[in-house]
Amino acid sequence: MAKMQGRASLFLWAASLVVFSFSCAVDVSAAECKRKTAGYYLEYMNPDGPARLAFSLQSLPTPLTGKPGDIVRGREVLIDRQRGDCLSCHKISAVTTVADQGGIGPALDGIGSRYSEGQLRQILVDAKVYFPDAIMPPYYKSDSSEPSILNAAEVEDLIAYLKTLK
Amino acid sequence: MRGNLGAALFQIAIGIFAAAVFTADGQPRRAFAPADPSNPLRYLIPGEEFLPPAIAAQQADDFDNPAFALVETGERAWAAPEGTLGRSCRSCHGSGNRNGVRQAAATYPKYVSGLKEVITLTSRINLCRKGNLGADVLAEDSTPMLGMTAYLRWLARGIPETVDNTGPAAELFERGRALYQTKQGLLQLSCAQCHHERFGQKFGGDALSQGHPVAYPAYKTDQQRVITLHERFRMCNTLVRGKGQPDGSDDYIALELFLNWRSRNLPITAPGVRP
Repeated sequence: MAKMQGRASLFLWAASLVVFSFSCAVDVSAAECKRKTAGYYLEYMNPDGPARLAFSLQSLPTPLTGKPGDIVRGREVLIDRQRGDCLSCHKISAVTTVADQGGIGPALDGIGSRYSEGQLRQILVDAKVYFPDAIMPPYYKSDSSEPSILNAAEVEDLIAYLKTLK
Repeated sequence: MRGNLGAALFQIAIGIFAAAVFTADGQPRRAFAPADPSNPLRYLIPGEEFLPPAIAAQQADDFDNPAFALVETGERAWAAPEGTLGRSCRSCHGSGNRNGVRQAAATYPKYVSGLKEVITLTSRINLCRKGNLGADVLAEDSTPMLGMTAYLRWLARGIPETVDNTGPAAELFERGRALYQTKQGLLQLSCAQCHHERFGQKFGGDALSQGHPVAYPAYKTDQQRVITLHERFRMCNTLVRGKGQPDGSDDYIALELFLNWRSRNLPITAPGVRP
């Protein structure tokens, strides 16, 4: 019996190894694409640009509206395709109502424990401060002459929701 | 060891449902070498590689591909006399491959010396209609025009893209290249940021392709109709929350020229099916 179990688990090991090599291909693709197209890619990426700032150095601890946001409204902003539309690029396991979630940016699971509120605000206002290579646009412009994707209240609502993703 | 059961099943599920564009060592499963060494892409991956397998299969099956109704419309129109001069397309072009009419659709946009400008396939068709048939000009996205372009692109199916970007077309080509890298819309994203730097990654439910135009005009499954390449451009403009341009605008012709050059050597697969 023990031997049988040994064989079964050995088979599973082999199967998972084989299948893992396939599934890996999907995950690896992004990095590989970058490597394979490097000649052209580097023109965009500016690898010698300003180094990433230490996380603790820059954050925006003060709410843009002066008061904390609303979690429920924040979830709506996150899903709304004409507002946050976060799930086109990111994945959040907790949001089960949206089937097609993107993989351009990192998954946001547990983001509430990885970043402080001020850091989340900084990422939404200008993610390039932490991630110079990211294509995530600035979601809030305080200068009213520039078009802003979200307004201050929507940003605060979004932060309130993201903080719940522990 | 027990924990591996779940992991193994999970991996099997991923293996079945994810379209594997790349092999385990990071090479594309199916790709073509670019015709020019100056092409920014190292390899050209056909758009079908990025599609869910069911949609790729639908495109490959002529009886299942919804765009084939338009190909048949175009085929009938090709032989039907129209306009004041009582002629059809076939009256001049014949039914064989006279003057390379089969490959013609793989060479547009093309510089026409008589006009001193670069024109698209739809403009070429309209010029023919006006001058040689005495027929009215068709809108780019009208059913008869989509039928004719779908038919001509289908004739060129399997033939490598061979657009000419040199000489008098060079200026428009450079404009297209610049446009490809210009950040657009409220989200400030360029074509290159998604389709050059991030192909293979998931945008919502769809994998970003390399953005080759060889499958257009294509049937859009979510809209249940055939769309032009320029309408695809407009959809991308809308996705980045910008403003699109009408079919046949100078910017879109420039972009079409650049994209066709970028996909040179990739066989035409129109009419395509896209989610």
